[in-house]
Amino acid sequence: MTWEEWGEAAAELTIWDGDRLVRSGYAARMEAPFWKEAFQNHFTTLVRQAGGDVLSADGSEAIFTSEEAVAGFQHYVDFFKKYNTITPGFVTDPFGDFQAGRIVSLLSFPAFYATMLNRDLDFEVAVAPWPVVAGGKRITAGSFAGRIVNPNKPDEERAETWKFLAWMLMNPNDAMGIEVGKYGTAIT
Amino acid sequence: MTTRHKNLGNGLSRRDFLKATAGVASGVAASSLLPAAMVAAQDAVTLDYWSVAWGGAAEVANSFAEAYQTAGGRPDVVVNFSQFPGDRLPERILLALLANGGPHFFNQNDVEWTKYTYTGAADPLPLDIFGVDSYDGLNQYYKPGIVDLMQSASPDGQIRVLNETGTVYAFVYNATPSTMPASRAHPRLSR
Repeated sequence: MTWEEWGEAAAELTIWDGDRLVRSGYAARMEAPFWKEAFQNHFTTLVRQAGGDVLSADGSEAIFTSEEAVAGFQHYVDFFKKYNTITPGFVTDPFGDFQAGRIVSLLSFPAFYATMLNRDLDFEVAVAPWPVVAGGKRITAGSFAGRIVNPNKPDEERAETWKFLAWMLMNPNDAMGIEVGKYGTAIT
Repeated sequence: MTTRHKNLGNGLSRRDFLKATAGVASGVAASSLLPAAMVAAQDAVTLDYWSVAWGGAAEVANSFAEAYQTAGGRPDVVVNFSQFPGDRLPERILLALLANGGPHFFNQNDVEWTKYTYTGAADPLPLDIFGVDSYDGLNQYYKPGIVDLMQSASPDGQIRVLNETGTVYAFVYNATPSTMPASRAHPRLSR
């Protein structure tokens, strides 16, 4: 699916009551602090899908205003100016808004999906890959999470903490669909 | 060894007592649990772990903690798991660290890592505990590039964060069309 096709579909799923947005077909923007990275994920992904980039290969030059980069990011802007699937300030609680049906779709991480599966919803939840810029490259955004050990703890307690973390790394637990360390963790 | 949970005065901590009685309630013979609980109480280690909240976070953390006690041969280690909303955890951790407190370990997204790794608020990974003599030895546990990623998070190349997850973002959507009212798209939509 291209971004244009997705924009059209998301517009059809969006509900307006006059000038008031009632339901977002695609919540491209979310106000909750933890979710503001949705902007950076759209930006970097769309720019690179369209053949542009943020920095030159050697990192010496900012190239995010290139023709390709701007054309790519236009797809994000379209959700506000063309397809009108979202407005600033509409989403402040992504979990609650999705559960309540105020959001039909959003960009998120596996934990969001897992959380929704554990909630009492009156609808099915599904996952789809990112759309692609027409004629562009399939690129998907990702991120990492990691564990950090508190340096304020006494030596002996830090050592015990590291022993536990090392054991987890060396003994992947896939009994719950979670694979750690060697595989990166993926919620399947 | 330091123990941080309250002792009930009978050799069992409150945590161990509750654990043992829960076993009885579920039909497990108390005699099979008490010895382990007694061992834990004698030389217990409690590790406080703060995590971003998500659907299965507690189950995953507890499964590892319990496996560490049994398969890992460390019945004396109790992992005290707490989870917080992802938009609240960074502030909570920073305030706790500034007060010289906080959990033994916590997890954070990569956009937060450098707050700790660049300020000395993250303990360097001890190679000996991982049984390797260089960071290259960690590659046996990770996909290519992950160890480099962890090193690059610190200004001096010392690993101060242990990668836990790799996340691919995707679209999550309501997949039940029957719940969808008829479309009322914005009139500005141009086709």
